[in-house]
Amino acid sequence: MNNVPPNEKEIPLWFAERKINFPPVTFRLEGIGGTVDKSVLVAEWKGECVRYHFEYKKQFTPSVLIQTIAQYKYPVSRPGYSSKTMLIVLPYLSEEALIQLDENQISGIDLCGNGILLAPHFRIWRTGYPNPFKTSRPISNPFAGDISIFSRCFLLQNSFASLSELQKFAHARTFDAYPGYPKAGLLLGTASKVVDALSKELIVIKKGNEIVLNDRMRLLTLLRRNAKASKDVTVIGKTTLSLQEMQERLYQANITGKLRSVTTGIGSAGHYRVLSGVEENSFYVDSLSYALELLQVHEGRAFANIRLTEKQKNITYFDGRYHNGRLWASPIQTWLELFVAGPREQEAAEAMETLLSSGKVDDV
Amino acid sequence: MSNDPLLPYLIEIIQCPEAEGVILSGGFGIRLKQAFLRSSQQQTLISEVPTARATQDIDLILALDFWIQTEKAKGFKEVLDRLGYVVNQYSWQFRKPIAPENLQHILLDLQARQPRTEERVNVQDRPPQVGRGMGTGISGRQTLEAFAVEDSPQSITITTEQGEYSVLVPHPYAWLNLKVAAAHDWLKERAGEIPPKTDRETGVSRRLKHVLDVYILVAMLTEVELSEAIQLAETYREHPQAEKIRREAIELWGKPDAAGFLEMQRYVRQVYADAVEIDYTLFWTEGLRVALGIEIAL
Repeated sequence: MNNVPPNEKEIPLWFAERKINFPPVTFRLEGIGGTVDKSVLVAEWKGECVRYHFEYKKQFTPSVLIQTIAQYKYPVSRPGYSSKTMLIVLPYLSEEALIQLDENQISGIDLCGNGILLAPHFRIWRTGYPNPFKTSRPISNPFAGDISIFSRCFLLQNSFASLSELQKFAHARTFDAYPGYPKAGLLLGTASKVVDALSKELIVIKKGNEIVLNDRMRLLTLLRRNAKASKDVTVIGKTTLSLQEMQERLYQANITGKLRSVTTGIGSAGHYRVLSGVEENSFYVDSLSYALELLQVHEGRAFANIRLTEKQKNITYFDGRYHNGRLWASPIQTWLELFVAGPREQEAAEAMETLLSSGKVDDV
Repeated sequence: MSNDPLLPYLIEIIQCPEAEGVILSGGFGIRLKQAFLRSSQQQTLISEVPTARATQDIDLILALDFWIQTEKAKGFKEVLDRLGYVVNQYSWQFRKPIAPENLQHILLDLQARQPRTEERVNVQDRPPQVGRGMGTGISGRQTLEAFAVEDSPQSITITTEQGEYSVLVPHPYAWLNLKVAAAHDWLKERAGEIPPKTDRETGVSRRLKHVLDVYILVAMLTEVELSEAIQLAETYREHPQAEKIRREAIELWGKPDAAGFLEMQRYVRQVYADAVEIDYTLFWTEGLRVALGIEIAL
């Protein structure tokens, strides 16, 4: 088998040539299109036929998996669909990935024979087939994107007894505020690669299993250098809900897993007492369409009192902190967003950096 | 507004009788004036304007009276002592450590205009400090561009859950002179004439914040204020500082493709998600140029 996964257009041929097998089930393709709405796969076993809307993604990083799980679990934009009729097809699914799918009751198969297939009358689990698409690349950048969560953890806690302790800490800080949300991504293997990269920079040192922060200032510098201004879609509009009503609805959606939301980093700058005049009703949400409905927002600039930006990556929601019923961004996120904004915001970022360099981030 | 993190620290100062007459300027002053205008629904030159932001600094201008009657300056120093401020730089900059564990602090800057010949107030050089050596414990950083700051300062109301407070802010004419000069330092910095104040990573000049402040000050002009500014501009027509600042304003914004205007647009687009295009005619032709009396002088 070639170690380059097929692209989306090649997948029908793979099914037709029976290169994708999941015994004892047999697959039959009914339709294939660019979107999940048009791609239907029929699985047959013991006379039972189950139709799945499926989506193949060539990339199979943890972040792709978590985004897909989130989309499938709450398919708000696709009325009539449920997570039970969805099937993810990725080039490879590790056992850890299968556990995540199972926890979220979503079916998924790979091109190697691994998978979990859920149907009304059967549940098939296959794992252990090797990954022929494996690349041994080290992670490209431990200071940006979701993988930087592991780096950011060291600003919050100086040492971790083991890699799995680091992973647990990262999980808790990413998902505790959203108990109903699928806990996917942040894999142990990724944590290990990040720690290796940080060790090479002497930012952390390993003492047996223990991983200890060695150079906080260098970590801050490299996180700062990798910060970029957000270019995600933002909707500005007007809601008639009171702040308290908004907070209550967002809180309920957060804990039931229907939506992830958090105040933006800039919007949290006043909370951390470094900048006043920021628009506090600025939220990151992982589903713009759901949030607009939930908060009864009418788009438009006239008398606008709320802004919503769609962000799906875990890093956005990492280390959010509840205070008086409101979920504020992590001080780390606030610092980085201020840093990539204007000159006055950069002055405020310097004040935040003083706090972060002190190591007393949780006292903020 | 009432939950502004800096507000309690301003209020604890201005509610002291010894602080009567202090004038609040800087980014926080602009922010409070904007909030006041919005709450009182006054019509301003430009209606849609970004919300002013402020860091944890309080900039106060002290009238020369504070040192002419030295008891006033001494009384104000006692207020600062009582509130926990300690000297940070010379005797014009103070800092107040705040929680947690004193890692954050409020910075308080005191400024004053240049005394006129007949005003018996000491000015010590290097750097020029107004009122230094008069036994009061405080001085004001001499600010040449503040020549008009004691003319017609305006009282604005701050409404909080605890009550209403009043504070003086400079008249827009005086404020614009201060801010245009500060914004022009950015051009001087670009030309290598003064030491840079740029961010070590991004290279963005910290002085650019003054460019945005000028836009917000112009946008906030009411019709009455603009008329008053025209009169003040006429009063100070021959003042060397006023003349210099008019030239600096022309250099910064005199044409739609002038550096100040281009940078102002870039800043607004970069920082504010709901940014609007800046109307050059309103800002310059009908706003700043008129308010500084440039039309009259040219």
